[in-house]
Parts: sequence; structure tokens; C-alpha cells
Amino acid sequence: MKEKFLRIFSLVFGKEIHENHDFSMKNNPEWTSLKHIEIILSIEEEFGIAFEPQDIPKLTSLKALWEKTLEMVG
Amino acid sequence: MNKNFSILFLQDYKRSDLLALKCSKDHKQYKIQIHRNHSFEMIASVLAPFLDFAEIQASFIYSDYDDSLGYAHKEESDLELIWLDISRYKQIDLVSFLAERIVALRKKSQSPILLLHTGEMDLSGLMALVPDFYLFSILETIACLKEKMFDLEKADFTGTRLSHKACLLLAKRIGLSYIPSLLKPTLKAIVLDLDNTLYQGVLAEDGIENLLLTPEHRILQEYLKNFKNRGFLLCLSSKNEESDVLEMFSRRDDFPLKLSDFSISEINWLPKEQNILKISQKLNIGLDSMLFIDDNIAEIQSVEMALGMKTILAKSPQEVVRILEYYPGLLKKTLSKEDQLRNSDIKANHIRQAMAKELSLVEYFQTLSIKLLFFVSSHDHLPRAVELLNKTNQFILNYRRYNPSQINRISMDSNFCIITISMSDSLSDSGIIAVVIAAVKNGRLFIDEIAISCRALGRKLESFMILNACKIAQKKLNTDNLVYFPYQKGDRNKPCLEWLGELTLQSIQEEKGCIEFKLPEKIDNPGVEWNESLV
Repeated sequence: MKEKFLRIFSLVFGKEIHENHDFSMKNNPEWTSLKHIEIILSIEEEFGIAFEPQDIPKLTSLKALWEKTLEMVG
Repeated sequence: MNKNFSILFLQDYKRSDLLALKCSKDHKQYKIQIHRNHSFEMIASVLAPFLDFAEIQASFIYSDYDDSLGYAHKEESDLELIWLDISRYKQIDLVSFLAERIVALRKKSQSPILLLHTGEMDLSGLMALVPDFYLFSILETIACLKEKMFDLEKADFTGTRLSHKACLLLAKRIGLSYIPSLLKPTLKAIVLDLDNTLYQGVLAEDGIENLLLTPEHRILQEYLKNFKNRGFLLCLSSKNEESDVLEMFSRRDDFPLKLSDFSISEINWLPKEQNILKISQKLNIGLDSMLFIDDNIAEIQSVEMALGMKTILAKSPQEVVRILEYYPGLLKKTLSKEDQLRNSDIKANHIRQAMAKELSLVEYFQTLSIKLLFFVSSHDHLPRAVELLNKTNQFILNYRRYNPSQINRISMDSNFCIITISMSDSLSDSGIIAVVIAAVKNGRLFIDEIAISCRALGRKLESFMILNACKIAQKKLNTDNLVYFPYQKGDRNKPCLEWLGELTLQSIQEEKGCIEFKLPEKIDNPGVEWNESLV
């Protein structure tokens, strides 16, 4: 599952994103609001989940997104 | 079709599937300006693989979100795309507003304009407003999603009411159909296999009565017949005994496709690539304007390898219909009279070729009772002139590829003369088959462009048509009897340049140049009736 999750990041950002990568909106200028929504929609589609609208602006790091995805997939 | 790209034609695919596809960087680059009142980015971010399949690379220039369509920061681009969520307009006369804004954009840009909107109302009346303007409701594409067309919960984040699924589906429609139809030439012919493609079964093994026309094959045949009615040429390439196939079509009157629907049939045991090449020569069209459909992977591969052609592997009739619905080059934005005449005219060409072998030139012209009609800057013919100028590859002087706006402007300029030529004979009406664009520059007559339809070639009338057009232009533009033919060598316009060389007795070696020619006082009439239309 983690592999699938990381693959989405790699595809959206067009570069290899590794598991322990400290990757967030704050420390990566290429993580724009457009990329953010692309990541959100791709994860939802891949794992068959739907993030709550109020959570979307908060999920701005790879770590936060992974934890939330894990929680929702169960 | 490249295996990796077959995903593009699936009914369901994910964003990550599309992002994983590697796109070529070798295609021609186009700039597309998006004038919008809702977000297009969710679509643009997955458009590349669809455009790549259509051999297009695109970069996008975005306007601000602007309900008023003010066209601020207008940049030069190859296509103007107006992307509108109609639901944002309340209590205004939408048709008048759009009409005014489209005219305003046309004043700023000569490029094609495409309006994609979310409305259910019929706005097609706006199409005639300015040249080279087309519109589609995106609801037609996403209606299959029903209540999942829109996602209002995410609209604040995505900048559009459209759901993610709707955006993915629209990327396919826009990237494979709409944008290629405005930036690339359309296909001209579809070459079809018979056994296990148009019906279930093998004619030589199962016999005529045992061939199964399943409901899905019926839909496919009806779908293909509809392509024929929209001006595409259907051809057959089948490994069978010709007599068996003729008998099959005469006995299977349940088949929606009749033998007469096919412009050319090559039914024999030769390799298909040889037959397709023959079809291309008979139709006088390039292999890049043709699409080959066959259920046999070996045939598909050998045709792709030998001819580099576009192909569809017919795994099932449903899949072929699904692919054809989106395949680049198969969307006709408008239907001209010539689209309807094309099939019967090509059939008549077989008879003409046989007659040309048997008869002398004068006998040939007299037997056929050929009539040519020359029209000067006829407004009604401008769309057909644009079509000829953009689709002709062989008999074309300069590949100037004028767009509708440029032709419209030229038609109103007293220094130019657009001559369109219609042809008919005792076998068929060919419609408008040639256009000549003449211009007066410093008192001299220049033929800026000539385009003659491949259907009209080989009838030995090229010089007669062009020289008479030059004579008419000379009279209209008040020049002396010297005419100048600027030319540009291209990939495929050798027939036109050879004609020019023979006419002027000059050898055409340079990549481009300009040849002077003295118009004769009288142009020999080879037994052809011709007139200048007063229309």
C-alpha cells in the first residue's frame, strides 16, 4: 500500500519520492495548490476513499497524508 | 496502436494511469490560450497523453477567472479555448453576451476559437457568427456520469463544479477529439477487414448463411455507415475470394453496410500492406490520412511495420466503436456538400480511368461532357476553399494553409481574388474541387496558392483549370499577361511542382522560388464546357 501511495507522489511531481522523504507543501515550492488537489484526488481514487473537505487544507505533508489515508483505509 | 496507449480508450481509467504514460517530445508544439470562468487545470494536467496520441504537444496560457470574458493579457496562440461554466451567469441574455464576446475575440485573434460550455441550451446558432468558431456542450461527454458529473464539495479546492471523474473523461474528449480536429487535418479513409471484424465468422469456412451479425456487429456496421455519410471513405481489404464476397453482400441484406458503401474493395490473397498501398494510390491520398481496422494482430503489425499507418486492432465490435468515438481525426465540425459527393465521385473515377486508357484526349473530354464553373470570391464557397487549402497535400503550390479568418479577410481585399472551381461530368458531380488564390503586388499578378482535390487529379485538366483561373484573375485585378508562381517544396507536393515545371518548361530544383510565365492569349479548349459564374 505504501508503495502505491508513494507512486502517486512520484507521478504527480514527476520525480522519485522516497519513503522517508521529508516532503511537504512548506518545504517544496513545487507542491502548489494545484499539485495538492491532484495528490488528494489521486489518493482518493487509488484507495477508494473521500477526505472530508475540512481536512483537505491540513493534509499538506507526505506524512500527514499517509497517516490519514491509513486511518481511512482501515 | 501502441499497447501503452490502449488505456486512453478505456471507459474507466485513473489519473495515475494517465500520469504514468510517457509522452513523446517530438511532436509539433502548439500554444493554447484558455479564457475561462472556472478551472481548466484539472483537465490540462492529464491532457498530455491524449494530445500525444494525436501527435500534438501543447502549452497553456491561462486567463484569470473572468465571467466577463475581458481577454486581458491576450497572447498570440494557435487556439483560443473559451471554457465556461454557464451556471455562473444569472439574469443575462446569454446568447447576446456570448455573441458579442466571440466577435470581440475574433478581432483580437485569427486562430480557431473553441467554446466548451456546461449549458444544456442550443447555442449552435452562434457557430455562423465568425469564421473558424466551434462550440460544444461538455454535458454530452459527461452525461453518462449522471449524478456524479459534479462535485460541489470539492469545488472550492478544484475551482470547478466538475467532478474528478468528469475532468478525466473530458480530458479524453478534448485531447483526442476537439483539439486535434482544430489543429490537425482530419482522416479521409477507413480501411476495413471483413471476417471477424464486420461480422462473426470466416466466410470461406463458415459459408454466407452462417456468418453471424451479432447486435454489437450491427452497431459497428451502422456506426461505420454513419462515417461514410459524414464524408469519410470506407474501403475493404480482405483475404477472400472476390466472388464469395460479392455474393455475400448480395445475399446478406441484413448487413447495414452494403458493397456500394465501399469506395474501393481489394479482395484477394495478397499481403494487406500491398492492397492498402494500392487503395491509397487509387484514392490519391496519403497513408497518413487512412486508418486500418482488422481483428488479426499479425495483419495489424505487418501493416504498421510496412506502412507506418494508424491502426485499430478489432478485439471486439464494442471496442472498435468505443475507439472510433474518440479517435483523432474523425470528428467533422461541419459537413460540406463535397463530403456527401465524395464517395460517388471516387467510384466514377474508376470508370474515368478506364475511359482514359481507351479514348483520345478529345474523345475522353467529349464523352464525359465535362463542365467547369469558375467562381470569383464566392462567399458561399469560402469554407470549402479553406478545407481544400488545409487538406490538400499533393497538388498544392505553397502549403500556405490559410485559416478561415485569413480567407475571409482576403475575400474582402480588392488586391486579392479567390477563384473556386466546380466540376461535373456525365458520371458525377464533383462539387468544388479546386481553389486558386491570386494577388496583385506592385501591378504584377501572383498566384499565391493553388489547391486541387486529389479526386480531380488525373483528369488532365490541371493546366486548363489553372490557366483559366489566371485569366480571370488577370481581368479582375487588371494586370498584364505575366503571371508569377511562387512555390515551396514540401513532403508531398511533387505532382504540383512537376506540373509547374512542365507548364513553364523550367526545371524546379530550389526548395522555394518564384517562376514567371506568360499567359497565352487563348487557352485551348480540349472539349470542356466552362463558364465564369455570375454568382
